[in-house]
Amino acid sequence: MSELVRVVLSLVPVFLFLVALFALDSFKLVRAGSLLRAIVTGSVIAVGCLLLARSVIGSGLCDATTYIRFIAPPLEEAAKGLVIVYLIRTRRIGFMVDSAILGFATGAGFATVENIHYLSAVSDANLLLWGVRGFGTALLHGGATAIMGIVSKLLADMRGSERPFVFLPGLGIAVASHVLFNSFYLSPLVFTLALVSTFPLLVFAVFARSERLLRDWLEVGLGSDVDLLDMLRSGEVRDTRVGQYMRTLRDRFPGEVLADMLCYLQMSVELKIKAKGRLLMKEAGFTPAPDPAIGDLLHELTFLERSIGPTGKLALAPFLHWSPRDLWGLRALKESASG
Amino acid sequence: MAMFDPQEREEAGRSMATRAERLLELSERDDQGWSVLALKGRLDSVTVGRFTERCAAWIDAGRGNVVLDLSGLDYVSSAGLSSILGAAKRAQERNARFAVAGLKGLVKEVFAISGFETVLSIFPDVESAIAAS
Repeated sequence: MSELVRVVLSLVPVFLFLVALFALDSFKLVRAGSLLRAIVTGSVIAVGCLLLARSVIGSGLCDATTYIRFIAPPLEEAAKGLVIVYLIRTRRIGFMVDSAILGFATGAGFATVENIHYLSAVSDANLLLWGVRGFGTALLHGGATAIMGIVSKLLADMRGSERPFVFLPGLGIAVASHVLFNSFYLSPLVFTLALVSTFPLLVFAVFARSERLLRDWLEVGLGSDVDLLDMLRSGEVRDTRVGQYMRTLRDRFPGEVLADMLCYLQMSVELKIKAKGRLLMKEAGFTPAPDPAIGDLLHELTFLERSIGPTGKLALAPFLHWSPRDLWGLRALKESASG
Repeated sequence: MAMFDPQEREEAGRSMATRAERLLELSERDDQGWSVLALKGRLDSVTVGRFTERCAAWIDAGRGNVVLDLSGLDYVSSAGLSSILGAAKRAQERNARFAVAGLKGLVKEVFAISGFETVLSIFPDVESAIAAS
């Protein structure tokens, strides 16, 4: 019985928290598959870190206390943080909410492997110890990577850049929290209580802000998409601002490229509207059906992109701008097309 | 600058409400057991509050099936679309039928491109929506 209790105490809380985060995301930005991948990646990272710890400590390069206090925190946080860097740089994260959820999932996967290892190595029946492992250590792993994700996404949006410097402050906070926890400057129980009481507040604040940003993006973005669509579908494109602008490009691009530029404009705006429409449906609680036409549209967009080239895309910049969030929306559409 | 005077704030609220009423006209009627809510003007972040409230009250009051007549709608923003989808979901949860009718022009295009026809019952006009029941 006590065996079951210690297993439950050490492994379940972090997943309950993850499920709560997933459920709180009203726009359902994170797909179940992505969540699972993040958990598995976190687990694989944990196995790597445990093996490394064993070989470093075993070889006598460093004693266990020093390793746990000063080497493990930066190493583990940096390894988990690489997942955030990859997700942000490949546009798999669009907002702070998905950054927090996927960061937490990575940390949860890490903590699960670490706690399984701990369960097999330590047979202590003290339930307080397992409570601290489950609520403290596990939430720390999830929370630290979630915070790195939140801070990195916030800075990436503010700076309009995904260069290494936007990831360093979040990583710094994650490492500092981890060092503080592992160094026992505060008792683990106090740290655990502080974590359990403050992290949910932070999450609520982040979710509220992120939702506001998402609504702004939908409102402003959809408005300008629809304006552009209106011009393109007006029947008399040449009399619109787009048409007048395209006429000024006649000397610089061959006719067929100009035609493809117009098609590219229209295809892009339709895909942007589709991406936002699917988000709105998810927010209302509907599950948008897979749209097989999206695959064809994306294929056509790629063809047009090649046809007009980087110069053509640049020339369309006054009317068409692919923001990082638009690119994230496009990626989400691609994923929805492939099921 | 923040408005601290409650009277000023109340006036600002009233003027916002009046503006919203001017931008979006809502009219209701019953037709063969269907509640028809007709919208005329713009459904955006300024006007969406009234529409959401009215629609939710109708659905919650169990006034049967609801059809939105959007033939007079010139513009709909994401706030409006979100509210229409929310109303459809609310109706679905209360086992009421919910239909959208009379889409035209750009609003029709936006509904089609967004893929809303997969989750909403869309009809050319109110009559065909009612007849389809």
